[in-house]
Amino acid sequence: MDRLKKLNIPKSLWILGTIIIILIILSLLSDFLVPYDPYETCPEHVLQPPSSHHLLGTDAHGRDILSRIIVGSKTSIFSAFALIALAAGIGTTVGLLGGYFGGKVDTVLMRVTDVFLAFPDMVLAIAVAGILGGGLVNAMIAILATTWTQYARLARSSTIAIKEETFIQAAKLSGCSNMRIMLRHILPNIGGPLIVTATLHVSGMMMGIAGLSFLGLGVKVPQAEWGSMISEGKKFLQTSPWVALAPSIVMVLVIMVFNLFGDKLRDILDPKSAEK
Amino acid sequence: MNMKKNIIKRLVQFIPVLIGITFLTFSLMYISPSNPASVKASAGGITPSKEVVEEIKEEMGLNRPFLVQYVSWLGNLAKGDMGSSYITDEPVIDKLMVALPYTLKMAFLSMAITLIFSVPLGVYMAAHKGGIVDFLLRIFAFIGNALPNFIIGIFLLYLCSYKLGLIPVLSTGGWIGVILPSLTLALVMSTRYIRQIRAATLDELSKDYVIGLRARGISEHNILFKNVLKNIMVTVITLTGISIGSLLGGTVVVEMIFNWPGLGHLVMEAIGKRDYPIVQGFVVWLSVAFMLVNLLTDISYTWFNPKIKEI
Amino acid sequence: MKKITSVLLVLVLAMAVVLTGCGDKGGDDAKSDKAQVIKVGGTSAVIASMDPAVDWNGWYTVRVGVAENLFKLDENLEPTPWLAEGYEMVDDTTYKITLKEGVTFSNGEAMTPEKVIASLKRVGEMNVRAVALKDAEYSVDGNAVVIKTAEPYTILINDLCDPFAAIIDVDNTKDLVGNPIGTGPFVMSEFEPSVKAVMVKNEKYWGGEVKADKVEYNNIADFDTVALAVRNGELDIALDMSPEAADSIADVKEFDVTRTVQPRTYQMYFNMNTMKDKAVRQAIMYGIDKKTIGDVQLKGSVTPANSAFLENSAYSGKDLKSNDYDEVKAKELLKSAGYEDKNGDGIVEKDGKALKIKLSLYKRLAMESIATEMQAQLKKIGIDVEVATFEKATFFEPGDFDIGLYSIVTTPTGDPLPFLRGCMSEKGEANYGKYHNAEVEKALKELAVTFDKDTRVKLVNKIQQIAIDDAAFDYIGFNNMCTGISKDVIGYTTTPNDYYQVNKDLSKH
Repeated sequence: MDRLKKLNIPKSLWILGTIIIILIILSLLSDFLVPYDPYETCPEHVLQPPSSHHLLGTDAHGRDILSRIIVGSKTSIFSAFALIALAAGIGTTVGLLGGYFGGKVDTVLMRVTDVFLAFPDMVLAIAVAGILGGGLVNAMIAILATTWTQYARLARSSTIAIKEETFIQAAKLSGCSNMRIMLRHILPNIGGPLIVTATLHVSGMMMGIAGLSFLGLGVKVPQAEWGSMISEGKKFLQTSPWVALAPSIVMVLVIMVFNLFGDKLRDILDPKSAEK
Repeated sequence: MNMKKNIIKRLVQFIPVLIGITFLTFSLMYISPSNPASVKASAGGITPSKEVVEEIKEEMGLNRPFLVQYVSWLGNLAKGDMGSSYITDEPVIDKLMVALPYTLKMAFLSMAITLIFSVPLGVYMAAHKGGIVDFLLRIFAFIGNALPNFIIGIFLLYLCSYKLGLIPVLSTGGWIGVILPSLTLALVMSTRYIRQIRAATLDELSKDYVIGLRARGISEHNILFKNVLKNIMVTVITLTGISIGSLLGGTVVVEMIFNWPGLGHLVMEAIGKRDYPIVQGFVVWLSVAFMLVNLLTDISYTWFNPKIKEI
Repeated sequence: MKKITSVLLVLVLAMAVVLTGCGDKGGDDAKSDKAQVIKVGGTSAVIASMDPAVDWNGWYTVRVGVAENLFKLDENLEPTPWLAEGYEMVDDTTYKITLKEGVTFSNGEAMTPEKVIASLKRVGEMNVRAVALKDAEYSVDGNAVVIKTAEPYTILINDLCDPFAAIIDVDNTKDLVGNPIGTGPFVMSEFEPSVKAVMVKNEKYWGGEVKADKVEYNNIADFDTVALAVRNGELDIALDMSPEAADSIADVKEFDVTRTVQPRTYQMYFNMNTMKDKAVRQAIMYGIDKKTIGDVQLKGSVTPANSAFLENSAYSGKDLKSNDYDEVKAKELLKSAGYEDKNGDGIVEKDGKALKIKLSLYKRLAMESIATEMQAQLKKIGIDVEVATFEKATFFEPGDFDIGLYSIVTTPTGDPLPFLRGCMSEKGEANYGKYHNAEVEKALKELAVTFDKDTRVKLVNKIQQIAIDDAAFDYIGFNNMCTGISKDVIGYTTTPNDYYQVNKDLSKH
């Protein structure tokens, strides 16, 4: 707690953090919060405009859109978190090893990283998800393949920068194992930028998963997920615009909250890059 | 300057990466859950018998060990042969070439729109930091940053096509059809560009030489246009390099929304039909193009900023 | 500074070059103000190849008025002469078909018996549905073609109505995919597979003056966009509208929406290899509420059915004993087969394994909508359905489904035999579910050689009943085709079988 105080956390960060925690709790409890069963079709009430019964209207199968958005939040938010944890884990390990040991280990690891970096943007993700054949897990593997490299690069450059510092040298002299040095001395010191990157990444991951689902390469029907809901709604844009617009607006709002939080966190943890 | 030597060095470094890329791309197909032989066999619309599938498998050389298959595929690739579509038997390269002009058209137009707007705006925001324009545009950039491309696309489609009836829906291949997808891409890119260009300009303006120039009574206007603009070009080029890479991929989502028959559309169609040679061709083409663009970007750094010798 | 300017200049120039280089199209539309151009659009208006012999492509070749058949189905689905003058049955296996005089292909070549034979032989080679044409022997007799089938075959003339048997000048056609040369009122002028097909007037049409100058068929991504194109005035004819799309253009004064009852059904195949438990198949049949799907969900655009053939046709399955919707019975069946929900997750299990079923389908008409509804309905009886959606029917692996959903016209040539043989015979080209029943096999053989109508009806009913009792197939219902037609358009035809659309009289006010 003392350390937190020293960092002098501004109020805005507290507020944003609270909103995010509430969002997470809401999505965890989503199954109990929904006004209707998000999967129950109701042929009598298809494509109904927003009303007091269905606050955000119904979709082409008469399912309540609000309920689907709420349930979909779980997929969007948690798959984003899981992805980041995995990408950061793999990337940091690779970067740390490469940066710390240097030499051949570094060369090999960085060549592998280069290969993955050679695929622009979503291209690899689409090819992977497309060929593996959809499904949330495959979509996540696909995005993971394209994101871990960022962490690897970041971790590597920070490790190299810090490697020659005296306290690391001192630890070496005192006979600490390489493992211990990496985990106890280097990792905590390069953690700041990594955490900032991870936080700023949440919205990117959400967009990535939703994008794949939008293309039909993510979740399978009838699972509620924002990207696939928007994609489905596209077919009814003219006659029933709310089907696509409601999940779009919610998604943008949630992304904004995460972006703001990431920006603020960067101001504190990584002030150098924040100046820009 | 050793530009030539450096370029050659870079090109040599491409080789292991290229091998990695092709290996990864090829393995993808290998681990795919569906069997290429039966995709090919059923292309005629008939469910093939096991024997036919087995025959085609043999014919396609799918019974050979993985590495042998990879090397032979790589050999063909080196000769410019990316194989042919399972469904129509057309060479993959021909299919890519048909779609490429559409993607290029969209890429260039969106890039042009982005640069035309974001460079002046970014510089203006920095020069008038804290002003009302700066404030409004920062809000715009912040909101834009939270908008996935498909949401922007859907919204533009809804507004321009559905509500205002401005854009005819059937003119996909023509001039009007390219406007909305390009605008979508430009909006996505602009939010990032404006932020970065603003930041780069601010950075530049706080440097000693600017203070020096100011002290010598050079007008702010001249400083901006004669010195600062030149130095932020590095940022602009970096951004452009990154964007062109992904634009060449046809930015699949946008092409799907607007039904624009570029590379992204082609690859999604191929995925739907499990026509993997096209997917492979697309991935290989893109990563090579992306690497070349990166090289060009690096070369242009040295040109704009002679301080960077090592490329 | 110079450098920047020059770089910018080069960039701008490069862009200009690329942009103008790509923008070579357009501008030629406004050639003549009097040219009659008919624009047609739909979600599956253009196919990958115009070669009529391949697969079901002939439908598209005949629709757009490029190719014609020897015989044509009338509104009662009875064959009538088209390019033929008439036919005569010499004996049980020999048909003598006299050709019309003066018919020419669009390249000016006369339609000779030799050319007709070449065209039909090719179809026999290329299309599995045309086995009869493959095994037959052909000869020329004056201006007539004599076809001798390998064994008595009652429906040869019906087969000749099938668009696969559209007559093409095989020898003189260079590009079968993009420009097959037929005898129709229109000639292909531009073809972009699965995107666009443009046809221009055949100046030498044998049947007389062709009224329209140009017909354009466009593929449009989804129903909503079709409706939008109608609203924007970009289309004269909108094919296959969804009920929602049709409703949404109700206020467009210039358009009429025509509804045509079609023998196109949504057919469910059970995979007999993966769904061995008959009780489960039956439970699924009982568990699907076709009425709700057709009448409510799809707003009457699908008429629920239990038979593969239309109610008003001779082969209607009125007397069939079918497994109609009965949720209680479905649950009972599952329970007696050992499926029970023990862990309370809503899905039944047997031996600890949850009952999970893969439903495969492709994007056509209301398929996706129906699948989602089926998924929800089957969940109510405790079956977990996973839906796999493909772009086209041919993309599933053989047997890559527990239930396969297909949209199919059951009497493409007016007779039930090709359909039944295709999906129920062990060697049938459409037997995706690997169904086999010796009795059905025998009845199908009999059907092929039986000429008497009443006996045929009995045989067809027998086959259908066995298939229902085996719980091998089910049908959701028949599609009621919605076509939006501009009030300016005259002469466009909508037929139940949906392969006659463009003709020489098609024009605009």
